Amino acid sequence: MTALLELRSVTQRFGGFTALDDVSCSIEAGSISSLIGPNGAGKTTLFNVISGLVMPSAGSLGFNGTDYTGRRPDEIVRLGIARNFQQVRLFPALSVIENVMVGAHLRLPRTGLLDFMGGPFNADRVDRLARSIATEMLDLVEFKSAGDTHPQQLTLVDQRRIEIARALASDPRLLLLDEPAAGMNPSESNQLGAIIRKIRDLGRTVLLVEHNMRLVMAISDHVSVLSAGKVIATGTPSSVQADPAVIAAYLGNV
Amino acid sequence: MRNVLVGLSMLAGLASQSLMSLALISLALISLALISPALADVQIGILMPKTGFGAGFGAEEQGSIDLFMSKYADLGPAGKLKLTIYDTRGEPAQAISLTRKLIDTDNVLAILGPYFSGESEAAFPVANRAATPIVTPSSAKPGIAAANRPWTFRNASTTDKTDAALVVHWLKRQSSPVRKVVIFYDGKDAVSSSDGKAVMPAVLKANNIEVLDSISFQTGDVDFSAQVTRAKALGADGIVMTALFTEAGHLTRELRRQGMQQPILAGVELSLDHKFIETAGDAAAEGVLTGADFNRDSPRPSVVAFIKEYQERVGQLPGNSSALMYDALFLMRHCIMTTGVAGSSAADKAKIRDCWAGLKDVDAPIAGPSSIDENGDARHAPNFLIVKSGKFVVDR
Amino acid sequence: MVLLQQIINGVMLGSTYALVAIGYSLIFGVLRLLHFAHGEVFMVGAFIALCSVWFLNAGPVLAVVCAAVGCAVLGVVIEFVAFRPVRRRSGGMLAPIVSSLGVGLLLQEVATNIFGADQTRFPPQFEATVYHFGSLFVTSTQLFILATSFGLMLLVHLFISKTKYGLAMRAVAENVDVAGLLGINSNAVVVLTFAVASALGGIAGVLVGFAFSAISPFMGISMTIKGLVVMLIGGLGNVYGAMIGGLVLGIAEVLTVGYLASSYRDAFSFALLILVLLVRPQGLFAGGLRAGH
Repeated sequence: MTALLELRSVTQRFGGFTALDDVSCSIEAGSISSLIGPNGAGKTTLFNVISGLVMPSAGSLGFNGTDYTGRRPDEIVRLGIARNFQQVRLFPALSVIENVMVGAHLRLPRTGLLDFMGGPFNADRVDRLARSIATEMLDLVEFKSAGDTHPQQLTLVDQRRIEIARALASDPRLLLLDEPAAGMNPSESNQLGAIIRKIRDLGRTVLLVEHNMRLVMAISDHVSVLSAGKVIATGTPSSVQADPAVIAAYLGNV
Repeated sequence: MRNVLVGLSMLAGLASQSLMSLALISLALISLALISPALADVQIGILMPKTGFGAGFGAEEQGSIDLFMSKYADLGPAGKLKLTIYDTRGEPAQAISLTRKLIDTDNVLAILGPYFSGESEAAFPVANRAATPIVTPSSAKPGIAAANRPWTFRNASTTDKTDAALVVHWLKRQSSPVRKVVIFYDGKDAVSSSDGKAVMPAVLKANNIEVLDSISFQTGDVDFSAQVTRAKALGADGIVMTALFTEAGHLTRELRRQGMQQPILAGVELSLDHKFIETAGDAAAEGVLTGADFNRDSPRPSVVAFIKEYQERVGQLPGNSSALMYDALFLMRHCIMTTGVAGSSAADKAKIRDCWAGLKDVDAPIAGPSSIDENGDARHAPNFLIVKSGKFVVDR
Repeated sequence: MVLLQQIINGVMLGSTYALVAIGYSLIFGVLRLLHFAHGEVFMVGAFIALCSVWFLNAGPVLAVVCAAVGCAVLGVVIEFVAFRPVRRRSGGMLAPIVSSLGVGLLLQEVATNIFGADQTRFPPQFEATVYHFGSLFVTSTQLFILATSFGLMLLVHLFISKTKYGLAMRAVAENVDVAGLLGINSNAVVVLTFAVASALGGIAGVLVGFAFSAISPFMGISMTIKGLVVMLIGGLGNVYGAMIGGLVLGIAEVLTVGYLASSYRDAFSFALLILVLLVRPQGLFAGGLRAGH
């Protein structure tokens, strides 16, 4: 297997605070990898760095052999990295299906403004394509309600599903999922686990930040542990679980 | 001046050699004397709209100023006539502060201007309190000079004087009698507003004409559809408008467009500006009657000469505002020459005031025999002009 | 009948307000910024159309197209010159307001220097044919304005609700960061927004030029304010609100002039605005760039 994502000595400082301290790791293509660690360990910061929301203070980012450090978020999506958010960030004024259609932006034909000038019929073709992608993604995440409802009318669990569908709509090679199971009951998180496996089986790589250890241990090929901005352990779920440093970090007696 | 002196003394302090500083100071004083105006010249301030919505009027006035100065700047023993021209933008507030500036800073003998009645209403009390003669060449709203005796004058006929003759002439020339009219007036322009709300209704009533409605608009309006639709339902057989040329043009155009073909009388506020016809379009403007101080077709040799010279110098035909300014300059120079003033002292100002107040049948180049009445207003017989094939022609 | 004619007059006036306000709303919706030079873009549109008539012998349709293209370019230039540099700085709302006011004044001055301060107008061949129906009347110009403005409103609706760019615009309006993380280049969307908004403003300028035969460097000043009032009545950044709000303001103004007095026109408009804000603080329609439902 080859590394799809590679972080080399990534350091992220906010003022005097070091959120990420010389983090190096690689994610293999076609895997489900998980990033765990206590609250405040820097997991979400790492996601923000990978997705380009913040520029790392030092270090470099590589995707599929390309150094993409310093690129804009939308260019990074174009490379093939998509994500959801720990705090759900759907567009409240857009319907569910429109939210997902926005995610398909890069996959729709680049017709320029002429598309619009060419009349509503041509636009309708693009609109139909966007709708079919969105419907497919909503089916994939097993979203059952109507597409024309607005997100705020739905449960948090449904909102999380929509966000995953929206991220998937860009046809990413790497999907970053930030605590997708938060607020889910055991049967819902089992269902989520199955969905994530399905996503992986479609050829995508998944990087997961999650507190639900049952889910992490059940679906991950690799687990890395982040504590106070440093990677303290990495390996298979069982090896990491047995690592004394990890246990110490979680119990807080380092 | 004071700043210059302070600066000079600082310079002097810096120079180590006292001789050197003496030389510097005397050099500076000499150069100051060279650039400051010769004491013999007579300073006149001019207020007019060079920018803003009245810029067109200002341009007409400027043409006359250029022509006049090229011919009559020399005052003989009194030296030269010097003009300080400020742009009021047609705004009363500007007119007030620029009047103060002309009197306090520029130390002028007298002021010509401002252009509009609203500006004159604001500026006249300022000049009157400062005991400086001020003469508007154009403002026509009645009572402005009367309210500010004895230092204020105008070289334009007031609407109360012109309207009476204008209305009678207009009524007389209609083939089918006019009995009921609608008045349209500009509620924002001082002279149009007073004319349309008070002066015209009184004159019309005196001629037994019923005013069905008075409908207002605002300077700067371009959409007159609502006003005309309102008037259309009233069944008037004549239309009277008191408006500046642009608004009058749009209004006339809209009247004709909505099918109101009644005869139109436009007040002197139109200022005989050809842009009225351009804005309305030749067809819509056809037959509109108005009054003005200036008669471009006058056979008087001085008028013919003025039009020729103006056209040569400015490249355009003079308008009503050009004519009024030219006469105002002429009368001001007449007063300077006859009283023999040579500066801007209080005594000089009083002489100019008395000269204006006593003007009687002075032969001005355009209007001819010109007099000022007890209210400080000029007496001119108005000319009646009617639009024929895209031109103003004298209607007898 | 008089009332009906007055409402027709109001719809004519209001449809041009609506076009200006749609542009305002698009820009506010996407950027949360007030574009105080938008009225001047409207003015420039009228002058571009005038030049196309003078130099290219353009008819009404070509004149509208020239103005739309020219103003789209102008709008993009304004975005690069007046908005983008100050948007990056943390000046808050104030810096873009001041810089766009400055651009507006500059455009006014330039237009005054080129075309003079006086009103100009389209040549007489653009004179409308008048159709009378009993005591009612409409002109060919009015029909052209109605067709153009309502056609454009329909196109704006389709653009926003049906195209990927419209959807991207709504996404950026909702949340720039999230839109970026979904692959949308928000800078490109902002440029597109300025282009579309300015083209609409320019077309409105031509239509006003046709309707009232009055084109002047100062015609944009009152439009900037009216566009703002319409946007507040309709709901901040709501394109559909701008459409309805424009018509409401146009009809309200005409009825005020027709049944009260012209001096009450602006007072009445602001009274209407205050009333709407008291009853529905968010405007007639909720804020935000939305597609109709």
